[in-house]
Amino acid sequence: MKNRLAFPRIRLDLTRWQASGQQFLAYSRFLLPASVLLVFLTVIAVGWFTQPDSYVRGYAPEQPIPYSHRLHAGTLRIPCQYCHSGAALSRQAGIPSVQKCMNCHSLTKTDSPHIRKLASLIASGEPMKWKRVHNLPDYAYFDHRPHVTAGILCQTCHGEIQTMEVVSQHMSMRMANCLGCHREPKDALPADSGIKRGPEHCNACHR
Amino acid sequence: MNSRTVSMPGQILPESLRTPPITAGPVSLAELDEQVLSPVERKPPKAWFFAFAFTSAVMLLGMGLIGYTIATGIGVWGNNIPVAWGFDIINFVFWVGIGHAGTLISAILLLFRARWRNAISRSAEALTIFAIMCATLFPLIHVGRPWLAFWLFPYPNQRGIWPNFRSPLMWDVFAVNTYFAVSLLFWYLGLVPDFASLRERTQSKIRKFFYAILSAGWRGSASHWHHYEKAYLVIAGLATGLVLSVHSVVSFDFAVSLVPGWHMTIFPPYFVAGAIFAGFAMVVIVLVVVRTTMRLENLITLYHLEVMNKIILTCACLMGYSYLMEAWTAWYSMNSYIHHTFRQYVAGTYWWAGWTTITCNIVIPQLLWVRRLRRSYPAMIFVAVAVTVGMWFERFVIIVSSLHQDFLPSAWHIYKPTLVDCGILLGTFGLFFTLVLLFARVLPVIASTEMKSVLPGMQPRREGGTHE
Amino acid sequence: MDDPIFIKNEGQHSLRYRSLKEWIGQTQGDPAATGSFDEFSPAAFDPVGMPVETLSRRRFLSLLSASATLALGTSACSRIDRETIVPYTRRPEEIIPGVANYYASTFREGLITQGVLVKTREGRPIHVEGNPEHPLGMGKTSLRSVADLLGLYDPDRLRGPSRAGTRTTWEEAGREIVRTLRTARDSRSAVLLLTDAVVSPTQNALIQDLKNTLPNLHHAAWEPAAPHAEMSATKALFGEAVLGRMRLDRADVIVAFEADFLGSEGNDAALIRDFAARRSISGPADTMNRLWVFEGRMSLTGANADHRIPVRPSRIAPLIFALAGHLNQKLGVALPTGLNAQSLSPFALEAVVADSAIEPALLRSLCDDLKRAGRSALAIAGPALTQEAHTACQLLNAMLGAEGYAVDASMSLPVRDLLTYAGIQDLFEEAAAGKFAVAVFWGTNPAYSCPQASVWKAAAAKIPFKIRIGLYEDETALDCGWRLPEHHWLEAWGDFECSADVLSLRQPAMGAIHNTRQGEDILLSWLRGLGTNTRQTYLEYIKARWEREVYPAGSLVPFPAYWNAALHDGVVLREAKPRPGRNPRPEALTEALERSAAALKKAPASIELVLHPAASVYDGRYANNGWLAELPDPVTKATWGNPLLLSVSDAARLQLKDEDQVRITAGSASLDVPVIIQPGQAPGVASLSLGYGRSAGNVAAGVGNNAYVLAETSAAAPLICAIARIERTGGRRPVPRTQDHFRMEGRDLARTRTLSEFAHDVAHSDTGKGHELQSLIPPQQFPEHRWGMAIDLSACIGCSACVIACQSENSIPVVGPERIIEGREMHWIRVDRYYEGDPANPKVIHQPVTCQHCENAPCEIVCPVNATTHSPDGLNQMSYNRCVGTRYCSNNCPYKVRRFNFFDYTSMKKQPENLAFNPEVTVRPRGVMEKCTFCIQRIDDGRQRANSEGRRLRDGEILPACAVACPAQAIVFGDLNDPRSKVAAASRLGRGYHMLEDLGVKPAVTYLADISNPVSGKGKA
Repeated sequence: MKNRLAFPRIRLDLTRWQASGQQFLAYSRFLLPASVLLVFLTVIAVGWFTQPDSYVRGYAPEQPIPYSHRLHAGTLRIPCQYCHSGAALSRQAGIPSVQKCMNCHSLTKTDSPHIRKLASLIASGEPMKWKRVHNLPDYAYFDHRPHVTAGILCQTCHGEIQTMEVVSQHMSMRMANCLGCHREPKDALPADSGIKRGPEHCNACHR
Repeated sequence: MNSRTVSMPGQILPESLRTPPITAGPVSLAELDEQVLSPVERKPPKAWFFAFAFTSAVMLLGMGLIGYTIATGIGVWGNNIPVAWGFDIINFVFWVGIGHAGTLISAILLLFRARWRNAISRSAEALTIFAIMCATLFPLIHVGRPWLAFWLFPYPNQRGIWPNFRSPLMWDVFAVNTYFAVSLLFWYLGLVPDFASLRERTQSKIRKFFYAILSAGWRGSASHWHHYEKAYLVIAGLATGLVLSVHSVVSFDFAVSLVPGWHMTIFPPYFVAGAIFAGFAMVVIVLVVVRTTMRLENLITLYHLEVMNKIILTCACLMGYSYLMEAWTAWYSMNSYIHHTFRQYVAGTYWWAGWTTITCNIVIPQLLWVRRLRRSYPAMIFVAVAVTVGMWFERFVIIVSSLHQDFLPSAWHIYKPTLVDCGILLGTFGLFFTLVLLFARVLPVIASTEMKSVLPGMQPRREGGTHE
Repeated sequence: MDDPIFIKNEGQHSLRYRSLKEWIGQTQGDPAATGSFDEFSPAAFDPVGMPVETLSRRRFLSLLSASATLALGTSACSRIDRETIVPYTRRPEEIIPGVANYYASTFREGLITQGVLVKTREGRPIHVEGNPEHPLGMGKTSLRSVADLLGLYDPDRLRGPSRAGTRTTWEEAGREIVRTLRTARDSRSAVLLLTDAVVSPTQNALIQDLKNTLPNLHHAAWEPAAPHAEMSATKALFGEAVLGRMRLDRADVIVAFEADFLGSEGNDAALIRDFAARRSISGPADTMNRLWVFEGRMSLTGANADHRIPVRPSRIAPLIFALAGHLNQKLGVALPTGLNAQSLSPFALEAVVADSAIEPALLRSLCDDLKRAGRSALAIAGPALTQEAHTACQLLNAMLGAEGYAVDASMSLPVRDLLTYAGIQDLFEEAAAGKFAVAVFWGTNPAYSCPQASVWKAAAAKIPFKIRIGLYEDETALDCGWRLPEHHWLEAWGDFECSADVLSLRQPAMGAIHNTRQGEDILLSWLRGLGTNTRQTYLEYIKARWEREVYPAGSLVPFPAYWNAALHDGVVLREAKPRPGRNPRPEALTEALERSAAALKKAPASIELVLHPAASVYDGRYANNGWLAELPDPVTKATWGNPLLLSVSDAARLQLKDEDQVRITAGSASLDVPVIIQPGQAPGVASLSLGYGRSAGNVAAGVGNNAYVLAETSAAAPLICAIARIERTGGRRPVPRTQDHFRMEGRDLARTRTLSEFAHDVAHSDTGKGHELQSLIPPQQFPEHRWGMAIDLSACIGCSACVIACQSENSIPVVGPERIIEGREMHWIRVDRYYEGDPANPKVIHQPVTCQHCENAPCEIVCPVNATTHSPDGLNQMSYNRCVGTRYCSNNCPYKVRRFNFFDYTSMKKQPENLAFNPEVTVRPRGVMEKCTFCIQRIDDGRQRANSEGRRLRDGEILPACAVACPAQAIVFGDLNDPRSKVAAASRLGRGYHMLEDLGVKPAVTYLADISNPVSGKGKA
């Protein structure tokens, strides 16, 4: 109330100042609050734009051979766990050994250069070095077993993998995202899946 | 507040006890401005440069060692298990304590209308801010992973979790930050009119520009003064609460834990008293130097110093009481652990620290009962230094002596500080006095505007104004 | 008035700074103040390491690339293009990445073999546990077999064959050596093969084969810590060196003479288990054994005694004879036939103990006790003692009828000859005389353990062609031209005769890390080179021999199936006819009696020094193992070295304080060592542990002093030598100890009761519990499980196997002596040791302390970032990645079980040592707090297994590493919510209590009070 009354008086003073040829003084008084505000905003902005997620999601690196999930999982409908056989038995779902690829490819598409590469690997015993797409920090001990046994679809976290020519990271790998589903499975999972809430205590994932 | 309850002692007290005049001899407004503001414009004397070089060198030493610590690990300090807190937290509590005098002087005494505080409030507040700067350093560098210390702040994040609001350390973060913010605001607000006067006085364009920014368009119009007084009172009100709250919260770091010797209900008042105690000692040390080197004897009079010494004496007695209470609790609680800890204080591994504390904080300040000593520089400096040292050692005793022998004898272990510890402590003193020296040169060490308000016969009428 | 004041102020001004400086001066004085400046070396290993690349070509490559799992730790950062996934090219069908496999194998140390299970992940051993199938260990194993996992990954291991320090190939080496052996054979010059004890029948057969091809091969075995005296005694008494098995499960009264059978000697898990099984009682009605210990030094066994009598080792033989005499004359126990009572007459109880503080009355009650126990009495003499002492001990056992019952030789096998201290001396003197043209030093490390270094040097100088087959570039290797690196036992094949009826198998748990070969394979290649037609590999050699000799004739199972089954179990039981009962030869007895009668006459040395193997590094073979080097000695709690232990009275007489530096002189040798005053040490007895003072190895070198130089090779008891002088050399050497304060300060921490007191308590239903503390806060809810632990102080002997198992399971770093001195050890579980009563002979109490997982955990409320929280199954959890390191939790932990990473200890680990990390546990970075998790990784895994198999968890299915390892079975773990679980039952026992109960933190760990069984205690012994 008082302030609003006080305001015009200041204007008056400005004119007097301008007369005295010190215009900059009139505005100088805003500089201090302005700079404080600026600093504050920069902090917020930096914080917002450097969220790890913002540049991890959608990560789709080029792999040593252009393996197509769309073809194998989509068209050919090979079940995920045929290749990623660890999912139900181990923490890690696992990447199939080159040998496993050759189970079929010793017969099919043997002429393709990529398959020949596989064959040569088998011969030499050299390992295949895939680019890692879904990567959790080393202190996060994600365990596939409970999720698979609970009947959660691979697609829930890995996205519509059967449509992906090149695999890309679908889900945010941030803790809040995991917790979101653990706290409120209804939001993330199909309503009919009678899946209960997951554990929320630290050592469920961190040791 | 109801002003009628406040009556100036001048009217009712016998001559001997009357408040002496605020200034030694008459001072005109012009004289005051000249005396207070001109040092800022003049080139500092050689002595200042020497002092500045020395203190900043010490400061750099400290900074270097902090860098070394962060690069190498807390292991370069003496901390261990069981004594997981050492110099780091001792220094933190120590510096936070130093800050308290400033707020007390500028806020509480303002509300109590103790007119003498106007001469010293500015520098006292400055000390507060510098002290908090030194203090806040330690919570940051004492953690194992300083680069993650920002996790202590509750900010929206992608982890879906918050800090633990049950933890006293969490409360500390808020307490100390609020304290710093409010003190800074309070200080700056007080400075605004002076900046304005400086702006008007100075000839150099650059200085004018910066003073213009800092004075935030202050022109001393009636409305400005009106808002100024209001804001000043409001912030003073806030700060008053903080004087009590901050060190109480700091004391919770200890009182809330179950470490024998920490787990005590007396801690909050005990810590606040100690803080004011240490703070005033520091103010006395600085003011004596400022007043003599900057020729401000007529504005910061011996009376000021004497009053502060009286407060120091009072606090000393409070501390004595607290120590006795600790002893009593140890005995009366029939708790063998507290028994043991208290015995450790006075007759354990660190008995010398315990006795240094008692001597410096209780015995030596008793000198101030003598009026002559209250008014003598050597005496008051001696006492002030003793109190500063004593209060540091008090924190040493509380933290180290309690921790190094707690519940399981098998886990007992001795604590030995390293040179890095000492270097960093020294460095914070360097930082502190560097800031003090800068302050003495670039800002008016006395709030000239506030001073004017209490110069004889120059009381502006403010609501609830003083009855004279 | 200004100026004077101004000047004064200048003065005051400077004064302020001066006082600050003075005060800083105080701390500049002490060493620890500067201590933190020197960088930490001992835990840091040899920088030259094996690059991960060479690893990834091997079949045991982990799915997660090793560097990613191990190195990054918990530093979160952008992970774009950071990692590759490297799957197997051909996945071995038994391996599912991320799932551990267990392989049965066998660990041997000296004469003791133990069946173990090796836990491997992606083909890489990460932990060693006992093999439950094994009839002797029964799932228990010694701490050193667990710790030796680190030896596998020791960066100091030899990485390929070398000649005179330059790398060479196996073929080259083979050719050269075979040529030399040929010439040696042709010129009929002797070839020396020095090994450590040969317990493996196949290895023995192989050596025999070599002997047949090389007639002039001289094979000798050297085990510095073997029971030489006992072997010679048994040989003299019974004709052959057959060591009877000590049946502690049958023994009601055990009397040990300078014998540390629970501690440093062999550390036989079977003995500890049997002993402890008779100590942990559910109620006063249960029978309990009683342990009498006569010893000079304070050993772990003595620390667990019901009656411990300090006595000079030189007086023990007469003492035992005196006991025998008393039993015979006063209590009418018959002597063995052919021994007349007169020969015992010089040994009257009173006379023997005349010059000591022992009351004859106590000895008499011991005799009564022994007579009462009869054949379930057991007398044990230690390896340091003279042959007479052992003979006397055998006599005692024979008289009481224990021989054949408590001492069971029915299934024992004769020990193959071992060199005595005199023997190895002679051997090397012969060598120095130029007897041997070629010498092969396989395994054992004589250059270090030979008492007289000069003799070894002379011998080494005189042997033209020296071959070293071993793991490390150790003292012996340095003196040998050819260095042939050997497989670690976890990479090797083998078989062992534990007893006549138990055969134990060893199989590799991983492919060789380095370019090494199995020692036996090397010998085989020589055999072939020398023209003998034999197998290509040692595996084939073993299988062939087994098919010939072990495979039961006419079995329905084909041999390959039989072999695979044997490998799977790791052990084979076979029929063997028990050897007949044996009687001591009287002449041997009389001879021993005469000798000790003579010994009794001459006055003992002013101070007798007892040399004994260290509980951690044993005879020095593990000195390069950081885990063991940092393992606190169970009694002294000293790490990283071997201080001289003096009795309280001697220290007072010599005016020595703890950590004083002294020079001890015995015979010609002298040693500079720090002193520790050891309560309970007998007056006139000092002790020093062997196995330290190695000169080679990045961990071992320069740690402690080599005590072998003090051994008197010619004497009857080489390891008990007379100290001529102890003089202070001035200065102090801080001894890194993990426990500084040894009194309990009258606090109710580790409870002890005698059996009678316990009976009294139970009768008056006095549980010793305080009143239940009331709380305003509602108790926490643990809907499903509530994990808890019970630690039986009566069973716990303090051996510290739990500490090592924990260190291995949870990848706990080694920090080195400086850090220990500063109080920064990292062990998650520690064994506190308190003394009670007279320092001359105190009662010793051991108490394992780990995180108590308090229901109202004080650490949880004070953590500002929620890094330590409580789980719905009752665990106090620690999330390293959330920890910022305020260390407040540690301050507020009344048990002080939290450990802080003051430095980046992980980066000090070097390849391939970091392969020993458990991939299921986060590697903690610098600046975070860590602590016991109850092995959360095991709990999670167990739950997931049960969950995916759709069943409930079974009790005992999930066990933390410490509980699995504990040979005494003192640690019980399980679900407190399940009333039928073992842990719930244990917690309900009358002697159960919580430590620091009155704090109201409600620990999940229940301690069971220690029950001792002294004679006065009306034990049912």
